[in-house]
Amino acid sequence: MNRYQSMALNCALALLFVSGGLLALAWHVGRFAPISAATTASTTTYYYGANNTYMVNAVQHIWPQENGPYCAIATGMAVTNYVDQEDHLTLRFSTPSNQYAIATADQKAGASRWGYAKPINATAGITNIAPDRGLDPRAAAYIQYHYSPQGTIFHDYIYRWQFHYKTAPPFHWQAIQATTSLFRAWLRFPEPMSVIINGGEHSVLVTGGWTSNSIVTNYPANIVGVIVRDPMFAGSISRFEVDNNQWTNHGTDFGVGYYTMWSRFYGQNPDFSVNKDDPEPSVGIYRPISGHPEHWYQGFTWIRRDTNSLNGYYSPDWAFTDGGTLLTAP
Amino acid sequence: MSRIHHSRTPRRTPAQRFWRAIWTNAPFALLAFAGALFIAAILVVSGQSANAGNDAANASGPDWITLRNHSAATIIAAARKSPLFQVNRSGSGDYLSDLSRLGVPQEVDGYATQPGVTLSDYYIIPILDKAGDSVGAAVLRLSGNHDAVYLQSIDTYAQPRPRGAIARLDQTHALAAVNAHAHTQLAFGVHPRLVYFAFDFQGADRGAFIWNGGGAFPDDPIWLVPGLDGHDHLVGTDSNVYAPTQLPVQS
Repeated sequence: MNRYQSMALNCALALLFVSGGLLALAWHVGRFAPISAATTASTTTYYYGANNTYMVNAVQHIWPQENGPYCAIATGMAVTNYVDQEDHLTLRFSTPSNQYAIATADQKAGASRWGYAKPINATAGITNIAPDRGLDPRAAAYIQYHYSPQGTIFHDYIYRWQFHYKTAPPFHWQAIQATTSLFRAWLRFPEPMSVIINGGEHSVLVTGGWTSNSIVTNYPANIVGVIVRDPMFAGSISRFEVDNNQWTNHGTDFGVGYYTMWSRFYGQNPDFSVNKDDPEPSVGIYRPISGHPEHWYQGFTWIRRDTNSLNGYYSPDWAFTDGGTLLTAP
Repeated sequence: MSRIHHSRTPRRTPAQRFWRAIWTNAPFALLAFAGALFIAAILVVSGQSANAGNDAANASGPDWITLRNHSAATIIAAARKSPLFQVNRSGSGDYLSDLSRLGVPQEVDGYATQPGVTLSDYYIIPILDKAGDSVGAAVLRLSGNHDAVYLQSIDTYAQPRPRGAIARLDQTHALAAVNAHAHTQLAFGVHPRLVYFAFDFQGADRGAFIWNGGGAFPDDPIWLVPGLDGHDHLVGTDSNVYAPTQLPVQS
């Protein structure tokens, strides 16, 4: 090999190396490309979710939430009332004071198979598996399961990026994926869902939403809007149709960054410090351990209806991944 | 001497010449291929960067729409360009189904009571029913220099607000409340303004206080009345008059 051949070979190898690196970068960037929410007048959008008339009937006599951490109770009652209408039953709840009745009942019944977290509080009583300020997601699932018509099953669903990837995608990607999983529940049960927002501090009903592509074939889908009913503000504003940016991307500065919906993970304060009002489980199989440091933290969670009753898994004690896999560890 | 003749390279066959040509030119061919691949990679990455630049606007911030002026028609036109105005509202889903009648946009300002806190200002467009009452509102956040808007939500009021209003209390009653409860009047040369403030959502979640005075959201605003006494007076939707320090503000 002469001098020119040697130089050509070295240059070729160098170019191949650089090109390979660039293409690998392109693949990675493309994999987690930001999701555009923009639509145009010609873009078709798809609605998924609940029925307006049923929703109005479900909440009109039982909201707003009572003073204090009754949000998960109030949203759970509304879900029960909604299902009652689907089943042509008399609505189980008819007054806001039913929120107090449930909180009272929680003091005596509803503990998980693993016991309950201490100290107990005035709203969740013994239904919590975490020493939460209000109801934790397990307690919220219990409320809906316990008061809804017999045979109606609800579980806590959790999105964490580890269920889908080996490396963490950007936050916004995770939030939109979780939202797509949330939307997919409506393919089977087009009903309101109790969703924990604001870093775990608050529960609202997510009753519907729009995408500009199919949620079946796209993951994440292109989320255009999310429809929220908040029991706290039901006396003045009964429904918020928020856009993608508002839902997942700190679109608001209300409350100095507090009311951010899914713009931060469960367990995060607005300044991203640990939210001590909503801790991880302290009893049971979902208590974080070495190797499994998170259950709800660093993810998103919601309560949804399903048919997961095989092997006794109808119990609201069990949590599932957003894809429907039973969680046997945190 | 004769060895030179003996060592002369034997004449190559056509196959040998072919493979020798391949071997000789292979590094150059590989260089050409690598060069082409490099150019292709550059094109892929640059194209992706351009797309990412467009999409990143959506991922990292709202879809701002520039305002040419602040006329009602311009603000309404901007709102109608927004994605939430263009979604499918047919059927019986849980949304406002009719956005065809829009009222006069009203500016609602952020009222910050703490140093270092800046709240965005908003245009609120009433969404009207056939009777002209406000059944909801389009909530448009204004950019810092007020030259663009972003439609962050379309809200539904729990009860319709009469005659295109967005405030639960009208200006006349607000001024009367200041007169009656704060024993002062509107300062000269100023107007009452609709405002919202940095509501303490966390305190409300915890049940730390009871608040029925409104002002938590821009589309449920309260009246700010600068008084002749030199103080700001805020008239809640409950008709009570509050000093700035009495508002439940997020700390």
